[in-house]
Amino acid sequence: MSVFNIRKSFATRLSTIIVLLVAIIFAMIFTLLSIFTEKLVKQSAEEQSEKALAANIMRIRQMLLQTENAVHETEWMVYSHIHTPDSLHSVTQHLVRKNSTIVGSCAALVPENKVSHGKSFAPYSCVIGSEIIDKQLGSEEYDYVNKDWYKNAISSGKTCWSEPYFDKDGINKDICTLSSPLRDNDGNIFAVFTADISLEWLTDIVNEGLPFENSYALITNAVGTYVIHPKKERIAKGNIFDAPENIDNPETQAFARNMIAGKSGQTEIKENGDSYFVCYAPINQTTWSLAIVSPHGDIFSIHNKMSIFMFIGLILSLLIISGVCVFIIKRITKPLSEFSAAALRISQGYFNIALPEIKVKDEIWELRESLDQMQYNLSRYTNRLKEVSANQAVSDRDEFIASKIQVQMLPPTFEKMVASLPGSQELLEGLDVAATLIPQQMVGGDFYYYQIINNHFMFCIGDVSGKGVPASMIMSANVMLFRCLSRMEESPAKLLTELNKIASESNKQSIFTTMFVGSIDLATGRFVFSNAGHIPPLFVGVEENVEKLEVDSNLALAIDKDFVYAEQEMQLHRNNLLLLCTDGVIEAEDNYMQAFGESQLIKVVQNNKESNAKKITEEIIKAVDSHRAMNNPADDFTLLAIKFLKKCENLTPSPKEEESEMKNMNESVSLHSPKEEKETSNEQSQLQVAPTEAVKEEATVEKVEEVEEVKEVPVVEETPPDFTDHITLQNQATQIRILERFVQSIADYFKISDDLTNKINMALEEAVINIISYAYPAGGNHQFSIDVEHRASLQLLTFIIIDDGIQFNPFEQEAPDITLSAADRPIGGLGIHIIREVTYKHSYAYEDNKNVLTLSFKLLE
Amino acid sequence: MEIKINQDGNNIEAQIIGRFDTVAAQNSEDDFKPLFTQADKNLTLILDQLTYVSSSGLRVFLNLRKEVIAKGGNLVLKNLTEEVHSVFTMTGFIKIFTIQ
Repeated sequence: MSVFNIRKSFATRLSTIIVLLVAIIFAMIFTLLSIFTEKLVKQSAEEQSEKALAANIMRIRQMLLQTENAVHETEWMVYSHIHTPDSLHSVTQHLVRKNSTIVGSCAALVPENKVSHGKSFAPYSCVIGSEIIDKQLGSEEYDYVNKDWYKNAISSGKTCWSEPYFDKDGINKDICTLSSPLRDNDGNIFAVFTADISLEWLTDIVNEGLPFENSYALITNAVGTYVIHPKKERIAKGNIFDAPENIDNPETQAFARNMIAGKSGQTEIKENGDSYFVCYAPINQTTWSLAIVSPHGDIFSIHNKMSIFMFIGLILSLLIISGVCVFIIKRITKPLSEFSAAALRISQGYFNIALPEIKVKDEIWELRESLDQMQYNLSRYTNRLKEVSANQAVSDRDEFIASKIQVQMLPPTFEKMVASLPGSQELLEGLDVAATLIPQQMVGGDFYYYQIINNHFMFCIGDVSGKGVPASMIMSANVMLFRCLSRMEESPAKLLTELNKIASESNKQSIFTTMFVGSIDLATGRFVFSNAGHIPPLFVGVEENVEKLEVDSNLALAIDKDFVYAEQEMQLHRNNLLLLCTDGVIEAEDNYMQAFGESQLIKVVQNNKESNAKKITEEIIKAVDSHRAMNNPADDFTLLAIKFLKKCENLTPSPKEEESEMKNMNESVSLHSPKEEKETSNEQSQLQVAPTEAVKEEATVEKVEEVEEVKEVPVVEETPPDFTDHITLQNQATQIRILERFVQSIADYFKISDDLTNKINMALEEAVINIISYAYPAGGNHQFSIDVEHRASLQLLTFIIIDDGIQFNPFEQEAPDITLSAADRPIGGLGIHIIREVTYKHSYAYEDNKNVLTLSFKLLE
Repeated sequence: MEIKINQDGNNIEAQIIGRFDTVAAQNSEDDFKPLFTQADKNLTLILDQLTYVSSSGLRVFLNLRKEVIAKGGNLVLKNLTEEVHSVFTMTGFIKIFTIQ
């Protein structure tokens, strides 16, 4: 079973390699063995042949000798029958009978001798079948006197063997005759006593002693005539040189020559494509040579058989090896397929797959253990992830729901809200309101609200510090507080004071919240407002230039539970515009960390002051978005634009129920009478008791409008500056960064050196940190300003830092003794020293309840 | 502002990168802690990437110097930029710190 489609099994591959290797080794061994055994076999065959040859030669010699002996031993019988020649048959009979090898015998009388009495007389006995037949060879047909066997004996006078011949007169077989001349007392040969041996029979005898099955023997005489030959028809007739298969065979001719030369040796001959091994030797004391011819087939038959067996055996072994290999390897690696299947299942998310047990602690076992461990860890990890992502999902969902809830906390559009009120038409003609709130995360800390209570347009805008869920919680509390308090309390100051009390009680973390509350009397256009640390609104009045409204920033919420807020008043005229926002608008940064800035905001409002509230907000959003470009918003973004179109003089007085409600509420609220007036600002703080009826102008309302910028403290030099700039900072240390950017922009503009820029930064930082740290001991959110003036003629760059904190002259400090060691030197006063060192001029003044610090730097070319 | 601290046994190198203004001084209290706790060792402040230092930053250096003297360690300031060097001269710090 395989998980994916295995093309080549590992077992097969490994087995193939092993088998191939083994096969190669086997082949090498086989070949070597083959060669070796072939040599051995050949050697053995040769030895065997030689042995057979030798044995046969001995046999033949023995036989010949035997025949000779037999003749010689029977000769006396001839002598004893000399006088009765007719009884010579008994002698020849006797010889033949007594010797199985002798197939014929003749006692041929020499005709010239007196024994024969001049007659041809040759009694002859031979074996035909199983009988001995007597014949008489002395006749006209058979002239024995001229036969070789007779003549040779007579001429040589010794016992001799004839050449092989066909005895047609006797036994009709090929024979060889031993002739022994017998002498009489005078020494004359009187008879030739013979014994015949059958060559056919001799062939058979010899053939019994051959080394191999298909071996055969040849005997040739001195001229090459076959004495014995496997083909009987060649005996005595054929000649080795003339034999048809030998005529063109040079090797055979060679060995034949050697044979008849009486040499002994070995050779190989080829006949009809077959190879033969020949060994030959002379039969001593004869003129014959014996050769034993053995076909290679016979010689190597065993060897060949062996080779084939071995070959088959090897192939079988290879097959068995490969079979066993495949089997064993497959068994060992079977778990691998199971592992893959398991791993696949694990990857599909099942973490409880059982893995096969591995008994032997080998690498496969190791893999199994790892897989197991992996499974376990994956399971744990996934569970954890599931938990986390479930939590995240819950958290995301919660935040999503929270954002939906938060949106519902905001008021409907002004048009919608007004639609359900009496006199809605009039209201729409009197006021134009548009608002936008874009939280940075799903929920945020910015808020705004408005509603019409008793023909007063009550509104607020606020900013809880921070973002996300924590800020949103405070935000929702504040919105609710505003909604409910604004129903009861018409005075923004009193409202804030009450709200602040409640907020302080439940804000132990002192999460910093700013808020601006306003109330516009729709019938009269009277605008009362109170600020709790928020950015002052922009105002477009009758002069039609955009200004920042001078507001007393009091204190942010939830810092001082008992703080009494102050409010201010002004008169709104036709088409006056109020624009409120949170610092997410002003501080919106681009990629270079440049804030959008108040001045840009003012510009946009300036350009669109004719438009309706909605258009103005849209243009601001556009401008900020384009400034922000690719940068992500860093803070919540809120805008509230209120355009006072005209007085709504035809509004009906508010219904009775609301009145009584407010009366009741007012009683409780008015218990909180204003405490001391704050004297920190030039504006007048008019605390009004909230009117129970609308549209009454009892109290004189001064237009308390100090919209002009705070006057600069005149510099000693009367030269007017050719360049001015201005920045307002909050009393928080983080504003240092804004200051730095501001200084950098000026430095870039005037191409001031890095060194001098640093020094300017240091001096300003000291001055500013002084203000932040010491100017407002009561704490709270304050602002101070820095004005910049450049006078090219004097090469002077001047910074005028104005704050309304407690009176403090930094230069009244002692200069630090810089000669003291670090251990002895006190820590304070260093900053002042730095200011003194880096500035060209410095001065301090306290004017109009303000600290004015002037620092001038010389710009050198 | 970033502080990169490298410790090799008794030698501690701290590289201060960026602007050392009041805000940075406030925010980097935790970052400087290891130097204060190990003021008995050989401290080296590498200031080649310190672009600006105000009195708040100088105060931190001063405090560190105090701690080092109290604990018997060693403090060396290295590779000051030109601007920072002039600040140190102007404030006389050049005489009380070992500058390399």
